[in-house]
Amino acid sequence: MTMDGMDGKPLCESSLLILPDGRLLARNVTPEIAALLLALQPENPDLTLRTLEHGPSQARPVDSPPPVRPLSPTHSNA
Amino acid sequence: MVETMDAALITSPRVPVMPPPAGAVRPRLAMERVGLAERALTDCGICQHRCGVNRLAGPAGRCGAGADPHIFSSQVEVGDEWEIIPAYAVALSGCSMRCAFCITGDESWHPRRGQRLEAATVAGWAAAAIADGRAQSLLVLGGEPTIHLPWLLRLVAAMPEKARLVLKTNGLSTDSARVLLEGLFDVWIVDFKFGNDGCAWRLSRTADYTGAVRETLLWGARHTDLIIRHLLMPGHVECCWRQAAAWIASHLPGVKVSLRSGYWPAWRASLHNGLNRPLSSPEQAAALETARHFNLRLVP
Repeated sequence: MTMDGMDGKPLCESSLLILPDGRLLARNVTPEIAALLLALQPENPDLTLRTLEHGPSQARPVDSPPPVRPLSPTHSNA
Repeated sequence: MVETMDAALITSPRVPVMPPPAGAVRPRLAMERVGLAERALTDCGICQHRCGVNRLAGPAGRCGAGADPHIFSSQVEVGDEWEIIPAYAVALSGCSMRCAFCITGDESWHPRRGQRLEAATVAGWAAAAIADGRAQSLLVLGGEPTIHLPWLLRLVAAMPEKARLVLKTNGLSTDSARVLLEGLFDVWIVDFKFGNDGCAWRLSRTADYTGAVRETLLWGARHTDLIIRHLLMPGHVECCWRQAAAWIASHLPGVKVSLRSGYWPAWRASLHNGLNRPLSSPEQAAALETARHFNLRLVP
């Protein structure tokens, strides 16, 4: 998915790869793409994690990450 | 020899940076270092290759980059490490490595893909995203952002003092670059791509890789909130991940490790046997078992 840059911003792009076994791989995952993928795989803990509501006032306690599968497919080859 | 595929000579006038507000320690520190960073480009030794070229005169060296970067992506993203997302991610073209499987191979190998943007302009977009709650941090990545040291410093100089700044790097910067970045980014995400120099040379044409990246990792653990990222590659769980994991356990126990399973065949991966497929489920399981064996601190 590619969008022309707005307000002088560079062209932005997100990419998806759907494997025959049903796995989804994604890169440049925007909040909108994460929501879309979660609709496809509502039980996917990694996607659930990435669609949580959050804001700048919610500091992350790095010593207590959420109990989710630690392998993340949402950022590829970079 | 690494080829530079985009060698059009582009020179640009120096753009003056507006001084940050009085009392803004980090922005002021960054601005004070811009001149040193520009001088460093005249005899470039800010990455492991130490080409010794004058990048202020135009694109040169192994990375083929000139004085200022092009930006190929600038948007809010949620695919990176949990503790930094949502992040306003800014991707700079050009890189000091030539990874055959790079997902942004075209932009990383060609430093003039994307568009020229002033650091203050990009900082304004990022600061707005943070201020209105769409992002909680600014993430600068590439390509390899540290090869664009003066622009990087101007970006920090233009960001609000309290903004959370995250640098994602391939770990090939030298001490001369790191000393100018010290104290400016809250978090460094350092890719530990290869567990041995043979794979690093074969797949990224980078010599003496492990020594360089380990130096950055040790520095990062002392000076930043370090996250070590490893992208699992098909067929490289034993030779690369296991070796990296063993070194982390031995030298940086307790440091956060982000293990990524999202490899997909991209760019020139098909030129290498075994890299033209995604990671298998048994490989993922073996990688996790390795992490458990070395008692690594995995973060999502």
